[in-house]
Amino acid sequence: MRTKLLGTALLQHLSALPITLILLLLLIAGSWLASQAVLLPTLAVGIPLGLLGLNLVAALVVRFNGRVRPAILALHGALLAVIVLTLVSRLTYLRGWLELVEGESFTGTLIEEERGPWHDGGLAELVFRNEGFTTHYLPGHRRSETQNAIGWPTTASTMQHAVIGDNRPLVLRGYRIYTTANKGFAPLFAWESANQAEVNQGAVNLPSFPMFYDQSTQWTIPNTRLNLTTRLVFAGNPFPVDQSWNFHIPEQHHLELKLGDEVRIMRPGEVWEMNEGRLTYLELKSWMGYRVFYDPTTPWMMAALLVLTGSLLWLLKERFAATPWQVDAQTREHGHGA
Amino acid sequence: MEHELLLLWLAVGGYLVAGGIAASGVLLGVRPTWMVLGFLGSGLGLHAAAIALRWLRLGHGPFITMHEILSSNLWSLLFVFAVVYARFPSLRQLAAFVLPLLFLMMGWMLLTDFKDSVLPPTYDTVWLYIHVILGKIFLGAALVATGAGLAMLTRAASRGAIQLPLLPNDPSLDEFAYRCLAVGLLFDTLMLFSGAIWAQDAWGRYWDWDVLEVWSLINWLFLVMALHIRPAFRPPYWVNGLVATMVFVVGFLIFFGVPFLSKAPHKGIM
Repeated sequence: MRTKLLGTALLQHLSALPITLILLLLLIAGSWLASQAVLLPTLAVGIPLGLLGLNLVAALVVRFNGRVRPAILALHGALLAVIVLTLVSRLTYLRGWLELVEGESFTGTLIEEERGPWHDGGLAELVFRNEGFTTHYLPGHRRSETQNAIGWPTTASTMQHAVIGDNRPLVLRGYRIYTTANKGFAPLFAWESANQAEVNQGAVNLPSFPMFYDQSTQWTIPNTRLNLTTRLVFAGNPFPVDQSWNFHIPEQHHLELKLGDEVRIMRPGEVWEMNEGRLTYLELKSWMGYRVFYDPTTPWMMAALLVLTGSLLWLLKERFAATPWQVDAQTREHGHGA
Repeated sequence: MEHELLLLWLAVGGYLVAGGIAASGVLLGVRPTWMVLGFLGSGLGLHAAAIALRWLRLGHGPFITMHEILSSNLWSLLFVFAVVYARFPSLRQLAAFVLPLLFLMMGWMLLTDFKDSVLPPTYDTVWLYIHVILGKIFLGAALVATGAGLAMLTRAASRGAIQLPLLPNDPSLDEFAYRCLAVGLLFDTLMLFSGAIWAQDAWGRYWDWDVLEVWSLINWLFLVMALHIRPAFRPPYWVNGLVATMVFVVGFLIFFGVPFLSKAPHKGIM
């Protein structure tokens, strides 16, 4: 009996509105700290959010005695659902990015990723191919629309194709794949080692274009110590800053490759014979950067938010329709409650 | 472009006259007339024409530069207030508080660069329009609440010297402001919601702790706090008036300040 009374008293205290206000202040502070990267969002926001959840549960338990408006119950219940879903989202989400050269398929490995501890690793089964893209640029190198052809297997022998771009992701197995402004050129090389023990083919992704107009990068031929600086040089001005243009592979171009003090100009099909092997510049391709996003709570979150706004609307209608806002001073006594 | 500027200046002229008539009405104790609404409405019409001309010329709406955002929000704020002015005769004297408050915004708008803008590809979605319209309604509701709040603050600060007898009593203004904030919460919530939907497909995530998102959340939390202060503490009416005013000030600073200080993707002028 005494325990029950103590428990009720504790719940009463936990559900108090002043506690709600203090926790909201903490959440405001936590949000700001998270945005400034002073604290991890999970800590800075998760703790006050969790405490607000307790405050909310206590309020629902204490006040659920038939006297509370159903609209308030629905509103705060939806709020609690949003809090719980936020927690589940942080445990199960994945976010990352990758780059694919034209013709290349994604095979499950992201360049960088962050994921919740309960993310189930379905990424390994995700397969899609970059089949080429174009991006339109307005004068001033201002990026406009992107159209990226994508293919993915639906069975062992059939492929499905689509065009994705800004605001139009590819959705596969719950993963959402987005094109980005991060894209550029990728010279394709073949390397044959001197003892012909290995023949490799690979692309070198140059910096994002036109964000970095100087298209050069350093890379090392695999399984060697040959460190090359590669620069892409356009003939003429295929991407004028004062005109509109579409991102494309310029036909007239060459590569400047520098190894130590030696500089070599290479055009598609040309070969550089070295002591360690033979490097062939095959062709110039493009690469596209993609963002990958996964969050299984998204549709549930949307449903909870719809219930939240619907119940808020219901509450406002009930509350405001019941009494006029304009009263004389004598009769205005107890109307400050929600 | 010259026509757009001319229409804009004429519109601002109409707003200034409306505000002047409203303010002098309070000082002279004269009941507000339809002249205020007439000048306000004319200003809104001219202003709408200026925005429409620019929209037709550029091929996109006023969403990018500081000038465009100030201009479109000034129009929507004044439109919301004009609706309240027409609908609630007993609140018309609030124009003496609301319109001069917006004079600052008008001055700021006229000082900003009128340069042309380009719509980023991530803005080419219906969710932009939904998000922006909901945000404007929220800010409009907060502005009307601020008008009522300023009236209560004026009565309290003057210690009875300024009665504002043509306006409803403090309990009524307090209730009206509270309801405006509650309506504002509904639209602010929907604005955040639609913003998240837009962000999901524009930037590949519905929430990323970018500066504008965080401050929008802070604004929403502040509004929730404001609505809970009244039932929790039952403060004096002037305190509620101050809280209502702070909601608008915080919202204004966030929506007009943060996008132009932040370098994050959601800064509005990428």
